[in-house]
Amino acid sequence: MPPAVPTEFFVMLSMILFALGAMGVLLRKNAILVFMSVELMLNSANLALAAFARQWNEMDGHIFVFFVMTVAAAEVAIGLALIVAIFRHKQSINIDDLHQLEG
Amino acid sequence: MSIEVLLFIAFGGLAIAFAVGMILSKNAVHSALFLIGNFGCVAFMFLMLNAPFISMVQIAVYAGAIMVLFLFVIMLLGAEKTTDTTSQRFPWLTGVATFLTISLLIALGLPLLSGFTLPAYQGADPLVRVTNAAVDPTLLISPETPPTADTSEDAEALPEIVYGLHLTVQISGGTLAAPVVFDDILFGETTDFASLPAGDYTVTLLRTDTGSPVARPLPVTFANGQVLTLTAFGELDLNTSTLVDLEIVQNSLEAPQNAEGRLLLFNGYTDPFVPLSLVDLGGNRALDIRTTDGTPAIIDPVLAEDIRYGEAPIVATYPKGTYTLAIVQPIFTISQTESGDQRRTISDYEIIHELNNFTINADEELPLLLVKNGLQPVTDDTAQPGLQAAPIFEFQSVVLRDSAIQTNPTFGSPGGVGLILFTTYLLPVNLVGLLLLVALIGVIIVTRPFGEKQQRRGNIRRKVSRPLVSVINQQTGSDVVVEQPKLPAGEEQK
Amino acid sequence: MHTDSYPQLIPLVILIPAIGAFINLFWGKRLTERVSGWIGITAALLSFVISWLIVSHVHGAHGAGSVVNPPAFFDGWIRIESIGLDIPWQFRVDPITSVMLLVVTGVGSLIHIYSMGYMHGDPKFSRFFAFLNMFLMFMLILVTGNNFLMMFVGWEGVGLMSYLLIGFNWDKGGALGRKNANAARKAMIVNRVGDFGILMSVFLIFWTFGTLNFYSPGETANVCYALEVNHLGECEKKGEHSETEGEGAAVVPAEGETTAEGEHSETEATTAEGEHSETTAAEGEHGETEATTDEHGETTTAEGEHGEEAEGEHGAPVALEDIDNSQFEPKQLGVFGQTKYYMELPEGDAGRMISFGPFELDFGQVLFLILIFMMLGVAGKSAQIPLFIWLPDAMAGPTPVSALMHAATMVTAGVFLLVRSNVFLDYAPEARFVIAIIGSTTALMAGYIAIGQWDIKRVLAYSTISQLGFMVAAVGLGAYVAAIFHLATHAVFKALLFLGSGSVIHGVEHGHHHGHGHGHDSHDDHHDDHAAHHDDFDPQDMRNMGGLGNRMPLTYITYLFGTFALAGLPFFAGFWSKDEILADAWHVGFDEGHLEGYIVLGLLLAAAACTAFYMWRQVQMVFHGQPRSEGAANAPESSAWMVIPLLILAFFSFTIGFMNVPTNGPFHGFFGWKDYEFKHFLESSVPSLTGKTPLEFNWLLAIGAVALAFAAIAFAHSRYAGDKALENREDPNIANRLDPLYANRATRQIWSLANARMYWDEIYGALIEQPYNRLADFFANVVDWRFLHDYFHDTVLKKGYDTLAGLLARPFDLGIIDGAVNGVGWLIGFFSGRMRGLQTGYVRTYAVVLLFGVVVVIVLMLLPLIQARAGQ
Repeated sequence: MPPAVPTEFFVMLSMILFALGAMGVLLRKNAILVFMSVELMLNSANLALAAFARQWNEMDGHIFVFFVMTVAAAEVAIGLALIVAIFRHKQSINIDDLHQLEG
Repeated sequence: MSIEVLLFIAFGGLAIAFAVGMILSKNAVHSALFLIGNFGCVAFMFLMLNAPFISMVQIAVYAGAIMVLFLFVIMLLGAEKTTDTTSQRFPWLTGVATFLTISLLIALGLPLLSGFTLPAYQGADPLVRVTNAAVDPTLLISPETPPTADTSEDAEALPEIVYGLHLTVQISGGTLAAPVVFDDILFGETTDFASLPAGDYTVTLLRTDTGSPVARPLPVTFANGQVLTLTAFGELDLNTSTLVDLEIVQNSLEAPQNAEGRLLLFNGYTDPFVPLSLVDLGGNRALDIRTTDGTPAIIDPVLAEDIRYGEAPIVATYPKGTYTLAIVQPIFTISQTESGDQRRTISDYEIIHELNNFTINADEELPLLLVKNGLQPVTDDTAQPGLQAAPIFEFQSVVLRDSAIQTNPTFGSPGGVGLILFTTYLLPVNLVGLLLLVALIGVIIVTRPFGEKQQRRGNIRRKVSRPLVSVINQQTGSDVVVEQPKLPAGEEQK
Repeated sequence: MHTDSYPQLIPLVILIPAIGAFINLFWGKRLTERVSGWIGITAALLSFVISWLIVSHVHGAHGAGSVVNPPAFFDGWIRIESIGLDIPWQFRVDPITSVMLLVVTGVGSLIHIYSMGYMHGDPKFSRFFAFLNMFLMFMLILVTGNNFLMMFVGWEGVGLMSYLLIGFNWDKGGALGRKNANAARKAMIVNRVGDFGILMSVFLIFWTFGTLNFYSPGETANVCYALEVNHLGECEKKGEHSETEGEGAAVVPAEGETTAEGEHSETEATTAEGEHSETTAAEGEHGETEATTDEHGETTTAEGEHGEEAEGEHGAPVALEDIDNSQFEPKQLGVFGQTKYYMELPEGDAGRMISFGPFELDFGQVLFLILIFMMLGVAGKSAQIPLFIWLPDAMAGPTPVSALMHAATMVTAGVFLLVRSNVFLDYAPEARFVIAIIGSTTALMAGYIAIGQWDIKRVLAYSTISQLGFMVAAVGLGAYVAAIFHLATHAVFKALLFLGSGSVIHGVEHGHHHGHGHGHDSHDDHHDDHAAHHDDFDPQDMRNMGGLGNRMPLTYITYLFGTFALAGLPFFAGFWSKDEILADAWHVGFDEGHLEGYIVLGLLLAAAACTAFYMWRQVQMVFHGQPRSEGAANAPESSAWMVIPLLILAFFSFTIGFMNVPTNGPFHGFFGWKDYEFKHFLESSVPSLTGKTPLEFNWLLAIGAVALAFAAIAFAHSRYAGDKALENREDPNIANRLDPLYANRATRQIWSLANARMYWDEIYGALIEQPYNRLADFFANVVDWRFLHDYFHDTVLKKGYDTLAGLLARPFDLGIIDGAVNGVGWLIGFFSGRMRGLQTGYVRTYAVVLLFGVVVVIVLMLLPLIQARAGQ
């Protein structure tokens, strides 16, 4: 029996959310918002993983979602710590103010 | 359009709306709140995708913990009002970003929109195994060695003398190049599962010793997702040298609900007209029968009834635990009706086999085969010609506890995810744990204040301690010699 | 009493001194003098006790030898299976070993005790004891090994210890320290020449026999003797040795005869065997099998034992096949068994030819070569002509060392080796002739030189050389028992003499310090400040002595015992042993008519006269007359540590000779010892003894020799008695104090030659040292420095190298290689300069590029799919 909502729908939703996240990363200059957009992109990837897991009846997809969440948690912790440190140093979290790695 | 699709559209649209809101809102706090909403919608999507565990984690960890962290940092830094507008360093970026994003969407979405559908899930390859429960009656007629009675209390022990056949089972046909052979299966033995591609096959049963077929080749069809036990049972017909029957028992890998175990009851024993029942005797270990209007009825909990000879097995679920079970058969009384027909009425029930300390595990499917097997010579004098030793009967399944099938945990359940995490993915889990630890230390190091201040504070304390000693010395007149704290060379110069 | 397991103790004999040495070497500095001394003494004494147990077993077993495997540790010492080389670390316990064990550990223990007193106060006390113990260890390895290689390990080990102990006082400072160090070097270098001989002989032995084992486990060394003592019948081949000897010496018989003889002897052997087996059946119950099984389960001893105490005690009879070596293939036997096998082959037999690649030699010739090379080594270690020159200089070491190594034990290793190889010697009369001549010449020469020496220890050193010459000459005559007997007695009385001289030196040195009244207690550190207060006083010079008999009575009396024993005065130890050698020479000369008998007899008699003379001269100079220096006048008697060993040794230097009293000589049956006890004891190791009637006591020769000794003493007394010992004895410059012989114009030349040590050192200096030095100088200065260094290296190589390097460096390295490398670097720099503009440092630009890349990759990945769609 095919599922009520086809997997393709979820994949499409995931794509749209991913694209929105990418837009957010590119367009926002507030470092925190950039971060939030990254989280949004990760989430959309999670959604696709879960959708395919259902499609192929393999729970490995769920495991990867779980790992992505864990890594995201670590990444958020480190990222926010960096933001705090940068803010202390520069009194700004505008990522356009940060270009010390200029070639 | 089903209710699910409607729900999907509603929550999907909401998720997109929240995402857009997050991107566009000027206030970072609002953005964060939008993101939480988006996460909630995605969690709902997870629920729709049969992933309740992930869904809960999404709510708790993502929408909860991580977003709290975000909000906390935003409020800490006072960065809710973004400075996006102050610098317009890359004015071209907006256009380029929009273009790239849309092209990404098109590249990904075009195949889907143009009618491409994912191939449907076919299910796993069928798994097949063989159980040998076939009895050779010639051995019953002239036992070469007198069978020894198994006097031990252990109901699970297989009788030492087994009047069984050694079978070899060949499965040929389908897309197989060579037939799959289960060689030399002893009586009571259950082979491991063999994975075959789905298709049409022919099953051939051979005696291992002579190599002659003992049953007509049986055509079967194996479909994807099937888990099958080919059960050879019955007596070898002395005249045709063929087995009476080969039953294909359908197993299921699906977990029974509510911490129950699943029993698969198959009757290869009685004459076809006597249906058997499986009864939980309870603590008193005696059959509790009440008789109303001359018809006896069993009061004990009945797990399964009307298990008929050679028919598809009866599935019974029962809560996990250890029980005293009994196989019970009815005793008929034959009476003449007025019309001259014979009428059979149940006059009593008798226990034909008792299963002491029978453990039913959850997440397990336990096939119980009730088959014929001789154990001890007949004691009653109503011996029939041709069957000198009345056989005593034994449950093969009782012996073969390891032939129980571990059912798969429910898809997406915490148990299922946890099981895989702790078996297949144990090393990655550990690595991720290590990563979290590193992140923890990293956070401490990154946000640590610069070291100079601390050192200075330490020096101040030392400076105090020096005159203190001399003051004590002066006041007490004593010669308290306190080792002077040694300052670093740089400090002395100051 | 069951003593069968005693030989298994033999690893302990070596291990205990090794442990003692180990402790003293590594912890000696932290131990007090007393503790480290006691460790050394205890190790030596324990070793002696165990040796005594082992010897008691061997004696009880009628000298039955056995091969002992050490417990597991050394199993399979050197083993190269691909070439069939297997040299096990095995011990041989048999009579020869037994004698050496007792001599080494017995004298060694006494000298350890003596050293406790003598070395008192020396800063290197513990090191001294470590070296002594280590010397014991190596010496015991030397005498107990069952193969030539183990023997060689011990041989080199004692050489090393000799080097270390001769140069023990290298740190004295000044000329004295240099002299000590040079003496050590001289000993080392001279011995290397000898070791070359030993090595050559070992290589030849291995090449010839394919093994280095003396005996295989279970092999019987002397079959005839073993048959005899087990009552398994007489050996019918009695006298065959003398026949064989005769053959070797006489003209080679015609071939036909040889074949006939060979056949004959074979037939005989067969008959004999047949008889033996019958006898076994008949008399089996008298014997007993003595099979000692070691830890590895191998049967190590399978030799019979009989005797009063054994008879009836054990019922098991000795099987004939257990002792007649018939269980072995000829090639499985040890070297000596194989020698017998080879020599019994008829002359000219193909089996007797030993192939040396391009040429072949007869076995007899190979044996001669082996023995001549071995003799070279023996000449080095046992100080024979021409390599004896190191031994007088070795007196630079402390006196206990001189006593232990350079008189009693180490220098006798050569004699031991020759006696051990007695089977070789039996079959090589030509080699024995050479050995006998060398030995007797050395004896006379060294005895003569000893007359002219002033140094008390040098006199004894030459005396030692002389006595070693006696032993070697005895070996050369085939008188192995006499050689070993003299070895044992000499070890005792020469150790006594050396220790006595040490006591004298100690006393004189003390007296000297005491007389000069140094402000501090010089007793404790006199060794130390000997250099600091070095004056011309030499405590070893006999010109500085005199009259010590009154000052040191115990030393004097014991010294007299040693002198009499050495001089061969009747019934002292030296009398018996020296007389036996002379009697053997007499026998070989007059009874058998061999030339070397006459030569040896004459030379040895002259040497014996010299011995008596120089010893009496020494006694007179040291102990009689008036003291000629402060040191002698004030010399105190030595401490009990030193005197007690002297007393013990004096006792034995009188009594030990009675263990081999000839049948009809005086005192036979003394102490309940049987006649020729020593000879019987050794018989199982020396096959040629069996079947020979022991020599009777030669009254004529004995009386003659004693008369000669007395005459020499009388002559010496007439020259040196009392204060006549020195002319100008009051002269403060000791160089002006003259020997009476020198003062007498008639004997001046004779004495001068002796005093100049016959110019051996000068001759060697002129013949070897100076040419060698000049050659070395030529090689060093001309060839190496001027040619190789100045010309070849500095001119040819350096210039050529510089030119080539210049070529490679300028155009090639700098131009091409550096250019290429720098060019690459410049290119990279150029392009990266252009590219750096891409690195804006802004995250968002990176993100955009990233996204662009993602899009491209996805499009590429999905391209087939999109194309398929479009195609539909």
